[in-house]
Amino acid sequence: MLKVQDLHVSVFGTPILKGLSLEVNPGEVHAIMGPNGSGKSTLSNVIAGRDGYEVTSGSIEYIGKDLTELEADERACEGIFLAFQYPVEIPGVSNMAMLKAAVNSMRKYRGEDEMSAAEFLQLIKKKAELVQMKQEFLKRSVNEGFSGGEKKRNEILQMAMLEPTLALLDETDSGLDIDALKVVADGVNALRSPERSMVVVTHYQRLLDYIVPDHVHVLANGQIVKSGDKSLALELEERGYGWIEDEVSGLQEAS
Amino acid sequence: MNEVVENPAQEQNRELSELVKREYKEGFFTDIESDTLAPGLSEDVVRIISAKKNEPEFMLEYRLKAFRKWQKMKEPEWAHIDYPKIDFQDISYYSAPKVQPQLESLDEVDPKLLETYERLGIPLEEQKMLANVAVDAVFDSVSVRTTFRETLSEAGVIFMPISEAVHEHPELVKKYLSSVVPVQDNYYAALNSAVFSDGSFVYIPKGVRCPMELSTYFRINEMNTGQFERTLIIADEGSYVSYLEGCTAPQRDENQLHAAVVELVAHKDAEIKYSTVQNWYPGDENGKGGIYNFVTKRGICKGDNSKISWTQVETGSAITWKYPSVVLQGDHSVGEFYSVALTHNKQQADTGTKMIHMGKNTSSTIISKGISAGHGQNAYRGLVKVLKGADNARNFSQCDSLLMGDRCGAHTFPYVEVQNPSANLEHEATTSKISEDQLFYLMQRGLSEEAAVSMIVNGFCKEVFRELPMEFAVEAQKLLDISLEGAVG
Amino acid sequence: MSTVTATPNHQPSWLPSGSAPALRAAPGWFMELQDKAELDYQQLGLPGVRDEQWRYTSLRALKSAELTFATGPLNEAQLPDSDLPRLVFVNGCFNALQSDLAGLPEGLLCTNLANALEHHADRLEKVLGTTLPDAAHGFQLLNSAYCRDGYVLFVEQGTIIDTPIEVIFQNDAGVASHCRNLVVADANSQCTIIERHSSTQPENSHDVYLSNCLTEVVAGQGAHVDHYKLQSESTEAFHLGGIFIDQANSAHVTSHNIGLSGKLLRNDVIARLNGSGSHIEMNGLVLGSDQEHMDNHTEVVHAVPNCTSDEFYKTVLDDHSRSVFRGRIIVAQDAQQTNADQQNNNLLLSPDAEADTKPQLEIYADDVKCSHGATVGQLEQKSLFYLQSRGINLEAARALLTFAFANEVVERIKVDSIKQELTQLIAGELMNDIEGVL
Repeated sequence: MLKVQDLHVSVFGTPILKGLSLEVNPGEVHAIMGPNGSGKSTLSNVIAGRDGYEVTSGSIEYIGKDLTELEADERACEGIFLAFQYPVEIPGVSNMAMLKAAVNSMRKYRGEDEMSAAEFLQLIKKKAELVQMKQEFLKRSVNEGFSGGEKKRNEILQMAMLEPTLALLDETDSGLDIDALKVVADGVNALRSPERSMVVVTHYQRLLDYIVPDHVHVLANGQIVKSGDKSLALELEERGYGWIEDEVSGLQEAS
Repeated sequence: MNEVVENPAQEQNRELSELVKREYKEGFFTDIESDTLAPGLSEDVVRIISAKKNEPEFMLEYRLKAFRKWQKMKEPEWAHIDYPKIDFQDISYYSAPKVQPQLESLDEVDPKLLETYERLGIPLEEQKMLANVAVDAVFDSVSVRTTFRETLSEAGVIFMPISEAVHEHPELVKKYLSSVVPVQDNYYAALNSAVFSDGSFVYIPKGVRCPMELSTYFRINEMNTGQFERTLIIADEGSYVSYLEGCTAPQRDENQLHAAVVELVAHKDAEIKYSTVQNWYPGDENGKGGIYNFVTKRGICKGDNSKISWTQVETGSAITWKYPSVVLQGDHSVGEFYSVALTHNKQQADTGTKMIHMGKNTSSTIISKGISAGHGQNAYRGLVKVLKGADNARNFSQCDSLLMGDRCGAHTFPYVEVQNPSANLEHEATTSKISEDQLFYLMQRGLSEEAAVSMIVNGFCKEVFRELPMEFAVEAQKLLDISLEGAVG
Repeated sequence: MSTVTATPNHQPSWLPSGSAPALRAAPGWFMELQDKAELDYQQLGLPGVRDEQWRYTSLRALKSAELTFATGPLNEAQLPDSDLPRLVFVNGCFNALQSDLAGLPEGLLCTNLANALEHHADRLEKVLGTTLPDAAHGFQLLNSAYCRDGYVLFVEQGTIIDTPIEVIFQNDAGVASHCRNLVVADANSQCTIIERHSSTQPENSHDVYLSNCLTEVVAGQGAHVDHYKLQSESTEAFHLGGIFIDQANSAHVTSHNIGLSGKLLRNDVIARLNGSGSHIEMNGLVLGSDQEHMDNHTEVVHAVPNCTSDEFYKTVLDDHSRSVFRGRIIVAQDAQQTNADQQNNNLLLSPDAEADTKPQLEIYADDVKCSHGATVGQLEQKSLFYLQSRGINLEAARALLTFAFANEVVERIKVDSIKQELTQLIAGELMNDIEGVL
């Protein structure tokens, strides 16, 4: 589904990703772990198509399409969803209005009819229950005055509404207490399906107790330096990132 | 600022006067057929206007007094606007409403105009009226008007053209006309007082809650009120009225200069809500043509516990110069001002409000949202004044500006004058562009850039839109999108 | 038409009759500069309340004051209790005997204007008068026309002066003085200047005089200038001041403008950010009482991209005092990535006090973050109540909160001795009743 090959990305002229490769198949959940500054957020932003992230070489292929050719909204309409590490506040725009516009924009892209207001209301009610979000939140401005946990739950609600094919969860666990973390993880797990892939970017292993990944990759210095199954995450939890960095620098010296 | 000596401006000035002249080249005397006065303003012209309207003596005296004051006054130059000098002797000051040829069906209307109506979501029957197409019986304007009149008169509400009120309710007109905006208040107000064409007169009797928004009716009735509009609204004790002027549909007019005066009087426990949607022709992208809109709007909260609320959405006109104000005379009176002003291409707006606190425990709120795009210049200018006796006055002002493009300007000129220590005033202003983060967030949710910008801009204006009557809030949002076309990217 | 054209339009008595007495050994360009300013003044005259920038400030009392153009010191200055290097000016003229510049490091020229005109004219010529606004008002023109002295400070590239330099300006009763000061801080240099303005008489003087005193600051690339202006003028004195700042790339300038007393204090503080990465901080405090009138006009011009400005002015008004604040921020068309903030807070303590404030933003670039906030009000009831509930009486609670309000500006002062001095001064003025509370 997603095929990233030897990807080099610069942000304002500074190389951040330096030859990253990653392949995600339908239904798989991949965890990307790594120390701060290793390029984790850059990866999710560049897949989602944020301005200012320049692909200097390599490729990103998504269901057979060259993603770098598409604008951010086109990628979203193709089924790529990014749950933001820092969800943005948009004063005066209600959650509901934004989601309705998003749902219909994607339908239009696929050549489908707009969703009726009644249909939409029913759907959002159902999905809000999934992340235990109260109705009144839907009427409030997007993320404005939300707590950290509420913002993250709102991201998962949006994901549930937009039903992406590929979901990128960028540090979705940051700033959450254990109860909020469980709610968010339950929401994500409910969305797991054989057609939907997920890339979970996180610094800590604890999220992976709740969202169990099929594959774990360690990102350091702009490259994936180690891949394994979920036990790799536990090992990182135990030993920290230091040993990986040592291993990598050892390798680099050797070569 | 306005001493424009450069060639392009002079050229534009000449074009302007030619444009004005063209219409009147037929003759230099009053043509009975077209019933339009030759350009120029003198005492005689004022007398003719009054005579044509068959006005009582007191109105003629009023107009002459205003004219004499106007002659001694100077055009204000302090606003942050730039335009070629207006030759006031080159304008015709009286023109009877023209009867436009009626069209058979909407098929005969300019398709571009229809497209705009469509996008604004204006109902079909109303589109026909706006485009001067004959309407069917279901929505016949005459019958609608009659129904409205009946409902209103049952409630005791007086609502009629001010030219009729002069005859039918001279005592009310005499008492209240210029009681809020003195004839010598400013240059344009004096001019308006001398030559005003027509407008609305509203009187809500004691304890009456006006049974309908004075809006739809007005939309039908409003055509051809002329360039010097005059409105007077009186809400007697304990009454309530909501009034909406203007229209989201684009309005063209050969008259380049518009100088309206609106006066509101709220007695004890009364409330007036006055909403404006202004979409006069803004000129083309090079600033050619377009209306100069110099408006004086002021309300007085005369009695205790009275309230006046101004809401405006200003997207049209080449130049907008208006400061809807409230004089808070009664104790516990409340003044509000909610404004969205958008300038695109070469449009210029200098708008804001004045809140004059005189009574005790008065409060005022100012929410102003300015949007500048293209080469547009947008200024907020406001005064909050707390006089010595105005104990416990409260004001909150928020003036936000949104910039789109690097050739536009956003300016904020608030004046705060406080002479009473128990006052509490807060003014905040911010200026910024649409944030990249917000744009990316919405695009990541599948919205196109244009849709994302529209959503953010409408969110920015939300606090103002929610003050508008429901159906106009929706139209106003769409209007904003249309007005901003081409500003993105 | 009136035929009385012989006397120029109601000139105040305190203008020099005929031409100003020439300065000894002043170079030709300086004479020209003065002549031109005099001519310009003849054209323009003094401002009046019809001028937008003077609408809240009446100059009637000043225009009719009986004063004489100062030609030299009569009295000695009252020196503050500090051992900083100092320059002393009495009635607009340098007092060498009371000045002491011992202990200043190499790499700078610190002297008085009259001397600099005689010995360093070429260095002055390039900068003197260059920072004044194009549309200078009458008082600024008068200063250019009649200034005879003032302090001059050239700090050479990379020179860092740790010790603040103190400049004392004092005037005798009946005097009109016009000092012109110049600070030129070359690349990567650092300096701190403290101006003190007062009467030659001890505290609580009621002398009538005019001090029309302008300071120009030219900050080179990466230079840091910290400027203080403390005004404790006589309660009957007129102070017309100006601080004009031009900043090059990455220059950081801080202006602290403290108005403590005076019948009329008017300051125009203008900073032009001409170099990328430059930063201006403008702090102001006004403590008004009696009939005092304190008027501050500030302006920050963001002429180029990537500059920041931070303005913070506070006013406390008692009795019949009145304050005027105008804060103007201009962001030029291409000055993208500008970040500008301005706050003006006014506290009214008396029913007869008046505050007029006029914050202004004029923005012609789009990629900017600009904000201003202005408040006028009284102490918060809930804060007063909170303190009372902790056993502090109302009077003391008021004083405490007022002190806290004013002290926010003092907290921004970087020179400890000044900070302490002002803290004590404000505390003394406001808190007679609550000794021991702090």
